[in-house]
Amino acid sequence: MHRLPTWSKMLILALLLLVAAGFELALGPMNIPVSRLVPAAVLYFHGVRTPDAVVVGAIRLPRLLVAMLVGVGLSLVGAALQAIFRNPMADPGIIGVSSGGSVGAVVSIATGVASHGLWVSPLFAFFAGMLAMFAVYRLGTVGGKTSIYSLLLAGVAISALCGSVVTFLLSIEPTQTMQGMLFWIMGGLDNSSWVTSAMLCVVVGVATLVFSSCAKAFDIMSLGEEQAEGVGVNLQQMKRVTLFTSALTVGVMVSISGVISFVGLIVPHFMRMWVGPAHRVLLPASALGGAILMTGADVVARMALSPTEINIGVITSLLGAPFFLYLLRRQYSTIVRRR
Amino acid sequence: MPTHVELCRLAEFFDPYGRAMANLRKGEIVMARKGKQITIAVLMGAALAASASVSGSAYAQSHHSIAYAKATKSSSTVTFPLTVTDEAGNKVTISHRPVRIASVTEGTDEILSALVPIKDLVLVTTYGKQPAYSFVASKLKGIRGISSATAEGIIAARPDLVFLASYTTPGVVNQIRQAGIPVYELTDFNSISQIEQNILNVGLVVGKEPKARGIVAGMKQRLRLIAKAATSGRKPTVMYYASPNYVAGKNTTMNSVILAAGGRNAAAAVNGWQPETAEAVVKQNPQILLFSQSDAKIAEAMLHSPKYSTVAAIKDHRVFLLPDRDTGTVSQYIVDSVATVAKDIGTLKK
Amino acid sequence: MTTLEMREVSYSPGIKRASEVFESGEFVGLVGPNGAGKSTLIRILAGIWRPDSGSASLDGVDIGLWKPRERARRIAYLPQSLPEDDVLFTVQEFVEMGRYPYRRSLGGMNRADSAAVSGAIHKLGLDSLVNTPLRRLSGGERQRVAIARCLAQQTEVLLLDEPISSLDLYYQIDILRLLQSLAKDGLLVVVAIHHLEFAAQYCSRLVLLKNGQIVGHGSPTQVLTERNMVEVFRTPVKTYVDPLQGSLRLSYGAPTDSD
Repeated sequence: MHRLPTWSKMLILALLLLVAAGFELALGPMNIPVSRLVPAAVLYFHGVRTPDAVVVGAIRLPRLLVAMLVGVGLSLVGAALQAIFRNPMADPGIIGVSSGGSVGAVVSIATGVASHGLWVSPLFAFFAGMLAMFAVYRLGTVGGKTSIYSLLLAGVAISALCGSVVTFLLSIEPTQTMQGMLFWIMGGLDNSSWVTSAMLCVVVGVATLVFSSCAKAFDIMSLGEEQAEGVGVNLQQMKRVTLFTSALTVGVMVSISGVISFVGLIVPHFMRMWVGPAHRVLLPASALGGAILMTGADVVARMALSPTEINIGVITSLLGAPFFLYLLRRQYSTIVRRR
Repeated sequence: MPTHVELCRLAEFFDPYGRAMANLRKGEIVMARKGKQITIAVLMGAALAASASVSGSAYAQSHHSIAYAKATKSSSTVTFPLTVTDEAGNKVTISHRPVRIASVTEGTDEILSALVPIKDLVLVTTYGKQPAYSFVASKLKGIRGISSATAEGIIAARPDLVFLASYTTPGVVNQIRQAGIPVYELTDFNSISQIEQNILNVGLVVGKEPKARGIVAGMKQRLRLIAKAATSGRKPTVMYYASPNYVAGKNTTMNSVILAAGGRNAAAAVNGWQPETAEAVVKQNPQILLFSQSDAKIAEAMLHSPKYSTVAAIKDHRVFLLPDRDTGTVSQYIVDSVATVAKDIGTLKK
Repeated sequence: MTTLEMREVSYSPGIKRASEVFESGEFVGLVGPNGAGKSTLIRILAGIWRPDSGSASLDGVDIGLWKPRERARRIAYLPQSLPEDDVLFTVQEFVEMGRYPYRRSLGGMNRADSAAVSGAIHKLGLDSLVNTPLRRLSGGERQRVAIARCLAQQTEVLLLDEPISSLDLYYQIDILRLLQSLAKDGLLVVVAIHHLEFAAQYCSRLVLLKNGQIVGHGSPTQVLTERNMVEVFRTPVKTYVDPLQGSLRLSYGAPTDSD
């Protein structure tokens, strides 16, 4: 596999995504033959509202889009954070952006400001996610050095703090508001629509542009700050840009699909092993991989107990948690060996 | 006077893009509710009259025709001390007829209000004291309320009998028992027949068994009236939808309410309360959608979402909001719930 | 003609009021015991650390005022720490990073970039390793790759922190000869170096540091005096001239405890 040229690996990923997308579009409680999928979508866009047309055009397609965009966004953010923190365990969930973002979303619902517009919750999630990430970064940085373990510990502490804020808000809110909040925490793709897809398209597009333009700097930063400074990487600027873009992307994603853990951790890490560490290749591969993972996980989430839906965050966590432990273990053993 | 459905159609005619629909639809919902409340009053009046005029025979009839396995004893007068097995399977011994009762479930708040003198209640739930969630809020004024079942909060009321639900933390139940206070645990609230059983069980342990039988007989009487009045042959499919995306499948209170009201549960493929995808709702295609009033926003959103545009209930604007206390009740007032739903879904004409 | 100048530079902890002028064509060795401030001085000259007081300037412009990319087109810096042994990048990819200050954020390598990279790889004798990931290389090979990356930057100034510390004899001499020839071609090369005899043999000038202060500069024979060796390195030496090479040699005695 290692001998495969990069373009063929990309082709394989693209094909896998196509297969996953095919399953996502073809499977569902409604039994729509594969041959009717395209006509149904065409009908929907011509304003025809038959059950098949609506299911394909208004439910399955936007849901597929949201799943893929969230996968792309999470993986890109994961790859970028892993580069700037020089830490294969950095992940929007682990360094506090997600939990901060969920506090923001929940606060906006609890205070009622969320009802002022579709952008309010994402905005709150963005600022709170940014704040939490900054807190983790500051707490994890001792004497100008960001160590893996202090970062992880700070992430755990801040996430726990955010978790308790959310729990507190849940406990003082009336039942119906609470259920709305629970949704943010659990995450889910069922309220996907063309509008949320468009919102995601914008932020994920921004993240793609920003991170692509940082690809060369990420390569160098992943080798250490001294190396990076020597060849003229503007470290402070890179960190600021990356953190800001990550918080924006994750904030919006959290407010649309809730917290979805581990995708941003597993995908870039796995892709680094497969396509190598160069971000010029790693970023697009991670984007494709994230889209595949999220789409696949959503197929399982929707179909395993159909018509009931399993929370997609549960599926990604089931996959991700053991992987995370494996990483931690490996990281630890290399450190032990070095000493 | 045009019906709310006609109003909405009219609005659609003038505003094909549906932008002005929100307010009108709210209007529709309000109107539907007003109509409903009137019906409730009418129905309740009818039921009361019926039960008053035929109470003796109804009581006798229900006593004969229905066997209550757990609660029915050979004699109708209970003597204390009384030892029973509660619904969780624990033996409970009650030394005297309880006069300081702690009710820590919403269902028992409503059941006990009808069984024992209010002065015998020393603790109720805070929900039981809120008019939005309780049919007996006005009765329970002045009684101490508790929002979550903590052992200390319950013991502090110095009760001589505590009613708890099976979802209470086992530790709390044990602590109260260790304090020497008998605890009666109720386990199942998921159908009308189970609620009737609960009423009889509660009646037995508070020494009010005949009264409990009377209440249950009244319920059955009203349910029979509703069933009789309900248009025969045409059973609409009904879905009860709750935030964020849950439906009431089989083995839920709402399921048995829908059935008793003469509908079919569109989500019968689901067991219990489960989240459901938009696509499954489209597939199950309910003719009527029911929501709790507090989920009005979700109902509103579904009315406007293209995803549900083919669902019969949405197309025909047959979306109804039920008062929160109707959707939450697990006591004799479940019959009011049934009447409300029967009116909403159109099985019950005026 | 490039001039790199420090004026009254202080940096806490490490450097006290150090002044020195370096000019293109020089191959300067910074010598001194551990903790004398060699690495700190190189970082300040590279613009990575800003001095607390005083200034470091390149052709009269304060280095702190340069944008990182502009600075990296004129000054290349080799950190003391080698790339770690878990680096998955290949030699080619790693050396290409030296072109970062020239490349646009999106876009590939142009002809000049490729020429600079392959030239640097060739100069360090790494042609056969271009597609090998760094983690498969020995410490010495990784050191050479890191130097190649600096050369790929095509700067007028090379600042190298202990460039030969993990090399074997062959490559120590090879690298020093390479740096010497680069200086002859007009580059300014400054290295921190522990190997005093090699420093004496290849460097055109030495700067001697002790406790963050410059205590001597000039030709190797002017700096590595028997008195300086005792005072700075606490090691008595006899100096002599190598009869074969004509360069300065040291004959070491037992270290002293006196300062």
